[in-house]
Amino acid sequence: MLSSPLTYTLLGGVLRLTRGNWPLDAMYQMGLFAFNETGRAYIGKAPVVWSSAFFPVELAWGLGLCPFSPEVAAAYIAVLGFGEETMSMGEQAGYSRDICSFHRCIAGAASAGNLPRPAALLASTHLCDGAPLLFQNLAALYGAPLLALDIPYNSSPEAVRYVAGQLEQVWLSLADVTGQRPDRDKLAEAVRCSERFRAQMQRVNELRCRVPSPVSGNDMLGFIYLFFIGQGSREAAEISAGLAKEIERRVAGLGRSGPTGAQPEKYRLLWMHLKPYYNDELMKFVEQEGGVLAMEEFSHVYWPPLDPEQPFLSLARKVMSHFIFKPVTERIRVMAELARKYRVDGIVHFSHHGCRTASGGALMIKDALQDEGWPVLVLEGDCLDGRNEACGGMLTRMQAFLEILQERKPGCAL
Amino acid sequence: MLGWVCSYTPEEIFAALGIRSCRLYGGENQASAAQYLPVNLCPLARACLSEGLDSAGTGASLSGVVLTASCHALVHLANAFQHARGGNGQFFVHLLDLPRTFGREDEAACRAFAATLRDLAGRLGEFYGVAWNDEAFLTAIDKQQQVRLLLRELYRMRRERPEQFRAAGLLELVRAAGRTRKEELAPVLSSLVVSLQDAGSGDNWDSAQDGMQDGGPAAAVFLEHLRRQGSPLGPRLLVTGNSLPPAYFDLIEELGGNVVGDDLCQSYRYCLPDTEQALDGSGRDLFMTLARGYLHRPACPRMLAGPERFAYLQALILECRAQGVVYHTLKFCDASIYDYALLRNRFMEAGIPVLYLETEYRDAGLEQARTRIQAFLEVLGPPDGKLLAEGNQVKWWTLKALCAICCGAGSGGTGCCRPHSPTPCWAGFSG
Ligand code: SF4
Ligand code: SF4
Repeated sequence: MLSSPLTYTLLGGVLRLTRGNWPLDAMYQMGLFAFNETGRAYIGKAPVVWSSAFFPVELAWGLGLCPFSPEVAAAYIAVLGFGEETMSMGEQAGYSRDICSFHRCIAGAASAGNLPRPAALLASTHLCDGAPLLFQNLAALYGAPLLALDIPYNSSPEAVRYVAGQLEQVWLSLADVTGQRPDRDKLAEAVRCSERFRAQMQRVNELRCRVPSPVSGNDMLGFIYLFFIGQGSREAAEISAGLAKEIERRVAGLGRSGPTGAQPEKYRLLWMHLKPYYNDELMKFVEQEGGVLAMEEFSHVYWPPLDPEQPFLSLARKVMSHFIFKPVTERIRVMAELARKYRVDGIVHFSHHGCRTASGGALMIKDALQDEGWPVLVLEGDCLDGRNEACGGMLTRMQAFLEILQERKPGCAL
Repeated sequence: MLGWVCSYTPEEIFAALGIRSCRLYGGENQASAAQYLPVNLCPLARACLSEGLDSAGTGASLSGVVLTASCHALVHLANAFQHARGGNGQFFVHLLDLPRTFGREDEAACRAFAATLRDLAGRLGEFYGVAWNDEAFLTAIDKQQQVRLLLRELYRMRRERPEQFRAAGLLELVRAAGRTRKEELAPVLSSLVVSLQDAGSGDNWDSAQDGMQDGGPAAAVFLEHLRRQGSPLGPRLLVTGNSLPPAYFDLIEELGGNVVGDDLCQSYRYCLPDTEQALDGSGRDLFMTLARGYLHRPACPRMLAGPERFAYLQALILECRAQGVVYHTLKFCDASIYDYALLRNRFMEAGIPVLYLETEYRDAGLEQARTRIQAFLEVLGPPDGKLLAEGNQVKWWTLKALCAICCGAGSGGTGCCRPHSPTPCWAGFSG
């Protein structure tokens, strides 16, 4: 069924009918884009390449391939309610429950043959320890090559050249294994699209400085598809431009207003890492209590402008400039800066159980940001696995945190 | 004194600069790490942080740490040291980039690693106020290599006479090597090796003791620790994965397991880098020699070298004539967890029985492990018995026991470990 064109024609029609129900038209556009690309991947219209989060996927768009993000697919599997079952299959395939649930879900879906077959797998070694290792295992399962990017921490000019050299190699190998002609003009065009996306998202983020917040950060966390897999595509550039326009209209008092509609904005939050996708209990609770995600770590545009004339060097600088791929003091500095810029009341670090990268530094981040006067909640939980015991007391802990924020408000009688 | 953790750390550079260094192993107590590192992070990293912060122990003499960016546990360990001790600029914290791509073809990775090593040497020299000296570097490489070769010789002996060698004793010896000046250790090891060689293959440890010449009392102590006594002789085992606490080695031997080989970071892997080319003094780039030495050794679970790793382990199993494999993961160590998921299937397909052990890098859990190790050894049978894949005389209850150790599907447990594979697992079950 997943590989039948009819499925996508029918579901595509249903999706179009829902257009008016999406909180943002850009979200609908993104949904449509994701849906079309997923169809293209399953039907096999173009060679599919798997790209792990944070890999510069512009390389794949620049070869006219069909990039597929298994991490995003895992999030959708959880949203659709198949998470537990799929993760259990991953566990049976040998993946311990201590690892990232995104990966267990991918491993489960792959072992059941439910994911589109890759012609190659792309992974980078920075930011996620598990992704390149998982992709290596799945490369063996599918008999497809793993093209890995080894990214050093230090970003000396020598290190940037080392990464740029690898990017060129990966691009050439990718062209080779997928039977495409490596066309530098096409690659430059992908980098140009990526740069348009960057500029538009930066515009979105500037608009989001307004109080009250013109858009729901919870909705913004739904744009991971564009962040993880869209950069380099014409569609992502257009959708981000549409999003910026839509928010501009809101700010100007036209169109639909604020993030939550009815609820007044009581607490402005800076949200770190992702959120639970297996159900929306936590995010709904935050919303009901008047909490607004004024900004999310994931939406922050951290990388410098890209130069289409120097695709490999530009992309090398992009991947190496991630603030999480630096000493933890840099993540602390960026979060403090965002907290000030978005005038938040408190910071929530959603500590996804299996993510060593993000949750490994959470206690030090809390310590340092609290020293600067920010209330911080380290909220242990899991993005996909509701069975994780850490998920149990999430609402209670969130409630207690919001109460603290309330007490800190000027004029609070408590 | 500089602290370090990962066996890709170039001790040669510390020695060349005359800086004392000490490999951190961490103890049972991980309490002081709790303030900095969450419980769902590698217990080894947490234990090493506790050790490095312990002002009554190792921590008191540490003036810095050099940690490899092997994984995010070590990255955050560096962050934690910086957070806890680095504030006043008096404590050296360095995160050393370590390429993940591996293999003899990857010259670019070697060049990048060499540049990283050169940078480390420069920073250390600046921090400690020591000038770089190529001659001292050459000597340090030479000594380190000498120690590695001597240790490898001891491993070779253990492979031949596992019933005489206490596996945890060898582990302790390698652990000591990570904390001792190589010019002091080399004569001790050499005396140990010579006397054990002279003692021959019988149970001649007393004559080895007598034959000890210039190794002094240290060699005698090591020898005593290396001696295995009184445990039954069971099947030959290879231990892989990541750092198994010494008490588990003792448990395996107490139950009759003969550890004939290992592939562990704190043990045999420490002795594997080969830098012999450095010794010809031809004026080549010694940093590049060192980089190649480290990156060309067989890959650990953290490298992206799954297929090569399996081939290496398979060769090691043959070389050691191991009848089964104990795969150990530390809880929350992604590198070994993903590695196991890949290797498990390969081992099964090759008919190699595997016992999966998970620990929290402490002795808690020993009793639970006892039953599983016991069952595994019973299933493997006597020493030098055939690999299961070769023999068909295994009884049905043996198969059930094997299956229970692994996933339990064949003995009524839930979830077969190979639910979608038509080929049966090594215990004879298929999904
Ligand atoms: S959540 Fe963390 S561990 Fe999981 S895929 Fe993302 S970076 Fe990797
Ligand atoms: S044991 Fe695993 S998680 Fe711990 S430091 Fe080593 S590779 Fe990292």
